[in-house]
Amino acid sequence: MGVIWNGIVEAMRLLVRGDVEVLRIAALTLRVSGTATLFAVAVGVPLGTALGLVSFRGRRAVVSVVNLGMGLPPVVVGLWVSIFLWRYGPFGFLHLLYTPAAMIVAQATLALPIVTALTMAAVQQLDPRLRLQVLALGASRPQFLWCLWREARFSLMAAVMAGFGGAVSEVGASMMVGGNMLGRTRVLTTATVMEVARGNYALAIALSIILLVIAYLVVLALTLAQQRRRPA
Amino acid sequence: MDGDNGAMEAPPVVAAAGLVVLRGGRAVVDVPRLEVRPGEVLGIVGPNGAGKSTLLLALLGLIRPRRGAVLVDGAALCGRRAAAWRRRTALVLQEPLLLDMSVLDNVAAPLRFRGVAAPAARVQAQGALEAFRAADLARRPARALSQGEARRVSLARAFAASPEVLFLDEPFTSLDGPTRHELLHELAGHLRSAPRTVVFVSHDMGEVAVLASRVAVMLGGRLAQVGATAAVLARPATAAVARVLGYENVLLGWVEDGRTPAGRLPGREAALARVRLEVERPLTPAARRPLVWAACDAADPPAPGAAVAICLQAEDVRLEPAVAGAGAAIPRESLENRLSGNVGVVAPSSRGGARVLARVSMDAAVPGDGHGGGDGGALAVWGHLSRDDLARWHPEPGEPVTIGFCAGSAWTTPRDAP
Repeated sequence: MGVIWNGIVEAMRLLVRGDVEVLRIAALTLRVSGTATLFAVAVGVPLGTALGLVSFRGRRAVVSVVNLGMGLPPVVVGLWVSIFLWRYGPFGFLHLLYTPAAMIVAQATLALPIVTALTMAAVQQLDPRLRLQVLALGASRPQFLWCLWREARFSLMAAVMAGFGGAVSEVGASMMVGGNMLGRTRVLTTATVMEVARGNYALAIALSIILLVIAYLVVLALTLAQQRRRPA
Repeated sequence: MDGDNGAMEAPPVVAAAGLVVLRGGRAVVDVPRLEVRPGEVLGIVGPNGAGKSTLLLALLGLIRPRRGAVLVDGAALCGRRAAAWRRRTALVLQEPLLLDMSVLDNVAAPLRFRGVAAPAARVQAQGALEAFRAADLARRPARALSQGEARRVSLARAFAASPEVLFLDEPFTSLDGPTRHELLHELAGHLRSAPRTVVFVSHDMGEVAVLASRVAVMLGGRLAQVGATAAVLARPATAAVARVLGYENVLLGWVEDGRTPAGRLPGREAALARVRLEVERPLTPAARRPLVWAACDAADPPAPGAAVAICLQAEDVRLEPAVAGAGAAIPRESLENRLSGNVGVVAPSSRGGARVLARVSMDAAVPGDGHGGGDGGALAVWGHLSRDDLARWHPEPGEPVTIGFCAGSAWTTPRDAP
């Protein structure tokens, strides 16, 4: 019990004092997970929409792959991203291993199937006759998509939040491809694991609380945007 | 196929040419030619699954045909041309299908799609809502409307963009009677004051009679008959078409040998035929079969001995309590047919009054023995009694009746292929 209370007090102190290191770790967490989520959304929403609307041969195979991706173990992602970015690997010339960029790649890979699958479900839930009606009212393709996404905005926001949640909570792959290096690739999740391993429980609790607060604030912002126009 | 004669002055707005749409390997639409002429109101009728809605969607370029094409201004629809065509039309489906925004934004949506700026679009949308007496709904969220209100809004939305062609797919089907009646007549009023081309699909022959100038009857994906509304309703081409058009009685029979056509029907462009009605499950081969006068196409009368079907609406059948001794199964030389029979079933009619099934007695000497069907087998005719008629006489099952109908109301069509 004392450890937990110490942790909370420590967290307050770190934040109030503006501990440079902790702030840097928190900022990096936001930057890496935020960018990864943005990539996942930029690719996943159009992909999920296409899978939800268009029927083509082999669609079911693609959908199974996407669904499989939702259950992808982060450690496996970390391993394969490492292999690809390895000095002797196919993309080694980019020298991305042990940089935040590699962590963004790993987290985006994990978040992408989540965003895609949830977007696909959101689009498929819309009445197919509504799609016909919107097209029949004279909508061009971009106008039609905007209309559909607007109709499905609640589910789409949920997809974004789930993607962000998957990215920011990730530790295994981030550790493997980032290396948890001080000042370079240390994020809240990897730092927490490290402090637990070192036995600094109070600091670990402090870091975990800060991670919770950040995750909650981001999701809160997204929820407020989602709920801005409530259904009657 | 087309019952009209005379050339059109203007080219069709949209036409289906050799159109075949497949679904699950089956042809749900197979239309060699159907034109929509400018300014007309074309009604498309048919039973469920006849392909009416599919045809409508194909005319909008929303369904791609397997073969053939939809022609707009002479050119086939595809891709970008289809999107441009849809900017000249509007569609109202069976459900209102409003978007999750305010009513005003919903009605303004087609204008926004066409590039009209938001403030101007809202003004025009408000005007459309006023035209459909729904102006007070403007600020409400679309999801909070009743069925009838949502239907008004979807109609207003269709009119807001001033479409050249309006497509309606059973727009009043899911409404209750009074609302449907109200909206139907409002729509008819709008079309009268500002005529435009309309293509609508309907189940209800009442709607078709009120709105349509031309009717196309679809059966099994094919066009069974196309022509001016009055002509099609009075002279169905086949027995199947007659059933779609709401003819309650389709009596099978054969044209009597030796006399066809048997004369002209005074006052109409139709010829007379004498038809011997067929009796189902005749008890004896010699059971008497009634002989009736019927109307047929003067230009193409049925051959002697041809198998035909007599199409008769229940409203054209008069039922009266049989006066003892006055029944006769043999028609007189006047053009009215009189048969004897017994009341079978009395059912309330949705049009008020009652529908009464009368079983025809085969034996002229015994005008009704109280058991229905006489001793000769089964032949039954539906008649309609109005509320006034019912006030004077309420039929009881088994009661002897006289069944009367004019030759002019009994239209002869070829029998359906077995």
